[in-house]
Amino acid sequence: MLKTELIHTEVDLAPPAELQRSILTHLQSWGDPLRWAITAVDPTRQKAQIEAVVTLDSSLPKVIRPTEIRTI
Amino acid sequence: MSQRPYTVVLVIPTGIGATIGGFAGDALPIARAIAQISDRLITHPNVLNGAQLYWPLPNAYYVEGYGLDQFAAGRWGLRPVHQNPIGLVLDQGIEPDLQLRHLQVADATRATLGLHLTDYIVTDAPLHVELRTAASGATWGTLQHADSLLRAVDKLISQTEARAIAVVARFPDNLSDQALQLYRSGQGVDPLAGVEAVISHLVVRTFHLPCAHAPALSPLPLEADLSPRAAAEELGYTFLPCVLVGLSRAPQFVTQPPTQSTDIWADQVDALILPETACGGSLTLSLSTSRTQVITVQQNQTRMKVSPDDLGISALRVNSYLEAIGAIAAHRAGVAPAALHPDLSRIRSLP
Repeated sequence: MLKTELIHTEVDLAPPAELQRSILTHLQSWGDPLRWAITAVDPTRQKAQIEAVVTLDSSLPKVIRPTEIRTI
Repeated sequence: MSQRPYTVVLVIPTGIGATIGGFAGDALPIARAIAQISDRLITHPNVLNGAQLYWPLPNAYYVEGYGLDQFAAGRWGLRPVHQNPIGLVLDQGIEPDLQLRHLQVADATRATLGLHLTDYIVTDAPLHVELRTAASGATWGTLQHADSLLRAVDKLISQTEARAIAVVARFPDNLSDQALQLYRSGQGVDPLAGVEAVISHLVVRTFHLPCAHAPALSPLPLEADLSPRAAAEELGYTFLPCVLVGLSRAPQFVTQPPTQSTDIWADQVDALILPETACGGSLTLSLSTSRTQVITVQQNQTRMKVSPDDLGISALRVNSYLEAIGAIAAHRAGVAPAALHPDLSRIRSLP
C-alpha cells in the first residue's frame, strides 16, 4: 500500500546545490520525496522552511530512483 | 542561423496562488508571447492547460513538473516527438454520467483533433483525493489509494502502446464556500492544484512517461461575478481537452543512453523565468548553479516567500512579464541589460 503524506519541516540554509541535497536527505527520513518546495527563509536562524509530500511505500511497482545528482 | 536554439524555461508553480497563472490556464498568453521570441519554450501543464481552451505552440514542450525537476537537475533529457499514443485512467470514484462525459471528450479529441488515444482503464478502487492547505497557504493533497492509480497505469502501458498518460480523478465537491468564491473571483489559491501535481508526479516518477491530470467535478452553479482568469474552467463538463492536446506532443523523457542529437538537456537552457517569490523549488536550485539566466517577475505575486536573494541566487529582477520578454530579447541578442539603462557606469578596475 502506498501512502502520501504532507510534511512541514526546516533545514539549515546552504548554497543552492548543497541545500537541495540536504533537503532530499532530510525528507528521506519521512519517506520518498515526491514534491517539495522551500516556502520561506528565516535569515536570523539561517533556516529554510519546507513543505513536501512524501510517499510511504510498502508493496508497489518499484519506484525507479534517479541516480546521483549530476552537476550541470 | 549560426547559433544554437535559444531555449527558455517558463515556470509558474501550481497551487501557490500566483496572481498570474494561478487560475485556469491564465499564463497561456505569457507562454504564447515568449514562444514568439525563443526557439524552444519548455513549460508545464499549469501554464498551458486552460480546461476546454488550449493553444498549440509548435516550439513549446509540455513537461510535467516532476520530469521538469529531473530535467533541470541534468538527470533526464527531453526527446521531442511528433505524437504520443495516450492512455486514459479514470478514477473508479467518478459517477457513471460524469465518466461518460469524459469518455465523450476523449472520443471528441480523436474525431475532431485526430489525437491518438489507445484505451481507457478504470482504477480498481476509488482514489479518494483529499485536499489540504499548508501553513504557507499553498494547496497540497493526498490520495488514499495511490497504489490503485499506479496499477492502472502499469496495466495501460503493459497492455497497450500508450506512451503518455492522462489521469482523471474525482475531486471532492465540498470545497469551502470561501475558498471557492475567492478562486472564482480571481483572488484565492487554486484548491485543487496541489494534489493534481501530486497525482502526475507519482505517475512520472514511477513510469518515466509524460503525464497530466484533469479533475472530475460536478458542474458549479452559474456565477455572475466570475473572474476572466477562472472562466476557462466553467465552459464545459470536463477539464480534459487541454490535457490530451498537451500530452499528444509532450516530449518523452530520456533517462538512459543512448541519447540522440535532437534531445534537449539542461545545459542548453538559456533563460528561466519565474515569479520573484517562488524561487524555492528544485528546478530553480538546479538551474541557478548553471549558466542559465534566471529572470524573476515581481508583479506575479504568490503565497511563497522565497526570493533569489534569500537563497543566494543570482537573478535579473523585472517588474512584469512584458519586461521579462524584453530581457529575453536582449539576452538572446547578446545585449547586457545595463546598456539599456540611461545610467551606465564606467568599466571597473579589478583590485
